[in-house]
Amino acid sequence: MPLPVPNEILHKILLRLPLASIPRVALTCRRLNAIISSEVYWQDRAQADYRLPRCAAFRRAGWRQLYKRLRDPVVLNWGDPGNSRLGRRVARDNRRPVEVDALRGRRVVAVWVMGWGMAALTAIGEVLWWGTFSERWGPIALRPTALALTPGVRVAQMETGRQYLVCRTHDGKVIFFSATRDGIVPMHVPLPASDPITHIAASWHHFLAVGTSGAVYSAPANAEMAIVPHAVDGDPFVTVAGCQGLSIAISARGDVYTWAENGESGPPILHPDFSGRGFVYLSGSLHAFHLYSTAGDVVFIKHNNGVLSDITPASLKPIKGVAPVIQSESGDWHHGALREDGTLWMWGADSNGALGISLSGNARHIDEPTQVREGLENLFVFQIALGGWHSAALAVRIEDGAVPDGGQPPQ
Amino acid sequence: MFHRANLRNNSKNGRSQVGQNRNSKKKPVAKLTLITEDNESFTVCKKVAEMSMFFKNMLQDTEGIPAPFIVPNVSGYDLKKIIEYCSYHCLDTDCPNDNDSLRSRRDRKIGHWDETFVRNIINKDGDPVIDNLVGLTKAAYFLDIPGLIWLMTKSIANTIDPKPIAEIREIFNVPVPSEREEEILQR
Repeated sequence: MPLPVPNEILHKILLRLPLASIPRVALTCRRLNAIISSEVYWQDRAQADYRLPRCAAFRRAGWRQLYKRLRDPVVLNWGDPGNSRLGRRVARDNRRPVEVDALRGRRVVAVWVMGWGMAALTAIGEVLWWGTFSERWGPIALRPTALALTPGVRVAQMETGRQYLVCRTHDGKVIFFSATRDGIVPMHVPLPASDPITHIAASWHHFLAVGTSGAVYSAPANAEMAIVPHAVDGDPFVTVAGCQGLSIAISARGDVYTWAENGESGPPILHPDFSGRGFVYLSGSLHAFHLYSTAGDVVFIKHNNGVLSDITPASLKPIKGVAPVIQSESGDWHHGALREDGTLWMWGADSNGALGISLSGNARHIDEPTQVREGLENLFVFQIALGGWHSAALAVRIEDGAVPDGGQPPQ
Repeated sequence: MFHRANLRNNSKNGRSQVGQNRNSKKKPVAKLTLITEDNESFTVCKKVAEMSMFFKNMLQDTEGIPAPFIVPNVSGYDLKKIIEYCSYHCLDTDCPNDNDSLRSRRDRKIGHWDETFVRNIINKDGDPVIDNLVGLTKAAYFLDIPGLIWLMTKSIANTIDPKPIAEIREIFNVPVPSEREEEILQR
């Protein structure tokens, strides 16, 4: 006799059960067993139990094993060590990924890169930062340091700009952290209370927030907080990103719009070439941004005075039988792509070791995406972050190089 | 401290008038009339109705307040409970929410009012508990009320969590699997 409960409700009920009860409930019947064995269940469980960033959501396989290993993730970084930005002792070699020892056991679930520092979010909601927060004021943290949050505030999303950090709280508010002569100061961003924020993005010099109404609010990343709303009639925005001099948004219809940072050159402009192609998410960096589609395409876009061009390397385009790219990021002059099989591919300018690849002779640039192997042995990378001249990766340990591909949930 | 919107029954015409805020006498409140699949009628204020994303989107897409709206797939009993829940939580900014992506979504405890609300569903007419919880969950899903979806799924999870396998099968009306099937499940 079939269960009287639809699958999607059963899925939610099973997500609410403590982990220890899952193996027992899986023995009840085939239907519950099938839900518990599915990738979607472990993806949702990973995203509910850990604060994985949205960019981690494009993985389609390996969630079950990844979930199990998220209890003990490894934070690695490499590149320019100036301003203490790597948060670890740098011996001679900063040109390959090395674990940030101080973060061992902190259960980091996302990393971000700032202009001269880095930041991380932990599974229990701590916001950590290290390096130099602001070029002018500091402060400097030689090791990962917790940012003081108001008691009761729960961080749902975090993003970083050149010298600021911005958090979206669970109740749709936005807190902006910047450095002053008095240290790091939090500021509540004066956004309309009637329009709770569902998504935020941070660019080098400006930040953006999407409201429940579908309006996007932008502001220069300074203490004045001059908020500018942006909207398109009848087509609410669902996500947004920022580059230097540019804001990019995707609407509910799947159209891609851009405008000058805070709308200085007029209202949003529609880009027909990139619209209607199923893009649902995007991320931005200094000169480039990345569009993600529901079909699994990740496209690199370079912008030049509002003109957009697809610069996706041929080897990273979807190829049958090859693990697809699930996250892409750009620093000032280097780029990285993470494949679903946990391998990291980098190209562009080496920028004092930002590629994480030992280059031969006087080479300072790689044209073709090249796999980063040294320093990532027996590690499965599940998130990357690239900054100006430095890079970071979040990985889980794997035994004997085996790629996560199924197994029993943790007891 | 926020005000709780109240639930009032209008017994004269057999209809319920629910979800009006006690302290909003002076200002006319926009209302919405809802008719369930079993032909029960309810009047709710806009603020309460907008706890449901289904109604919120409908109200945004419609100019003015629409004529009585027939709510398919929802019984009078379920809609009454839904309005009771939404009236209480419509001004609550910290209501546990199905869209909340934090781990606390699972770990958060059910509040005192919500606990009583769920206990009353269980006691209704002595009907089987799970049927009422599931019925209300389905209705909450249809009307897209994230807070109520969280409460219902959490309550069902709490109900089945301590139970042995045999009892979980009973709750979900699942026959005992054959030996061969059990072997497959064990794998």
